[in-house]
Amino acid sequence: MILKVNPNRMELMKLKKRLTLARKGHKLLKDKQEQLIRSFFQIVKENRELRKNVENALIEAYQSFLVAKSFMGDQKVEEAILMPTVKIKIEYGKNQIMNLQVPTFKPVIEGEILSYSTIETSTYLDDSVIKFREVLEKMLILAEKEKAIIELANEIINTRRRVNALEYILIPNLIETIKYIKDKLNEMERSNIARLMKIKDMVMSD
Amino acid sequence: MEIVVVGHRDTILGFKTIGLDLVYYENDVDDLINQINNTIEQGAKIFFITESVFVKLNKYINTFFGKPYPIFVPIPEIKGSEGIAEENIRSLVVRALGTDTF
Repeated sequence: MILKVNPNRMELMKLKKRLTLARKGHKLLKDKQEQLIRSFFQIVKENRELRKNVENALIEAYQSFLVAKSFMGDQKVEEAILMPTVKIKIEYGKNQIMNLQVPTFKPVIEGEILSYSTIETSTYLDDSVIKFREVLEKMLILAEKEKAIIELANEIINTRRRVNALEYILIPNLIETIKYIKDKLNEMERSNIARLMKIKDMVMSD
Repeated sequence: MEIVVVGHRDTILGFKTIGLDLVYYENDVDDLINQINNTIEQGAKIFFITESVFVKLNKYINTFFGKPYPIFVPIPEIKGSEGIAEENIRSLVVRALGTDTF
C-alpha cells in the first residue's frame, strides 16, 4: 500500500530516513526475539527438572502426612495442627531477563514450626511437618519459574507481532512509496524536458 | 495470607502444619471461585492448586493472563502427577512459538 504523501523530494528524503530507521529497528527486534526464545527454552528446561523434583518431594510429604494421620487418627491430627503458630511471609525480589522484570520469592518464617504438644502426637507428624517445610521453598522457586515462563511467553508474542508488523507492513509500504515518489519525480522531469523541447521548437520556427 | 493452597481437603490438609492458608474444593466451582476472589482481596498472591482442581479453574485462571499477580501454580495430587502441569507449560510454549517444541 502506498502511503498518503505528497510526491516531492522533501518527502522522499524523509521516507528514506524512515526506511533506514525501520530496518534498524527490525534488526534489533529480531535479535531481541531470538534472545527471548533462547532464555525461554532455558527456563522451560529448568522448570521441567524442578517440577519433577518438587512433585516427588510433595508426594513424599503427602504420604508422610497420611502415615501420621493413620497413626494418630484424623481427629487428633486435626486438633494438633488446628492453630499453627508459624507464619510464612514472602520476601519479594526482582530478577531481570532482557527488559522483563520477573518477581522472585523467598519465604520468611516467623514463629515456631512445631506448634503442638509432642506428648500426644506421633513423630511421624513431626516428620511430615519438616517435609512440608522443606518442599515449600522449592515450590516458591517453581512459582517464580512458572511466572517467568508466562511473562516471557507474553513478551515473545508481543515482540513477534512488532517484528512482523515491521517486516510485512511498514517496510514494504515504505519501499513501495519511495518507488512511487521516484517514478513520479522522473515522470515530472521527462514531461518538463518534453515541454522545453516543444518550446524550443516553437521559438526556433519563429 | 500471601500463599494459599487450593484443593481437596484430604490432599492439602498437610499444608496447614506449616501455616499456609487453605481453600477447600467441595464440588462447587462457583463457590470456589468466590472464595478465591475473597482471598485475593485479602492479599493472596500465590496459589498452589492441585491438578484436578486446576483443570476445573482453567478458564478463571486464564483471565489473569498478563497480570502481575496472582500466580497460579499446579501441584500434584496425592496419587501423583497427571501431567496437567506439563500440559499447561506446553500450551504456553505453543502460544509463544507457534509450534510444539517442548
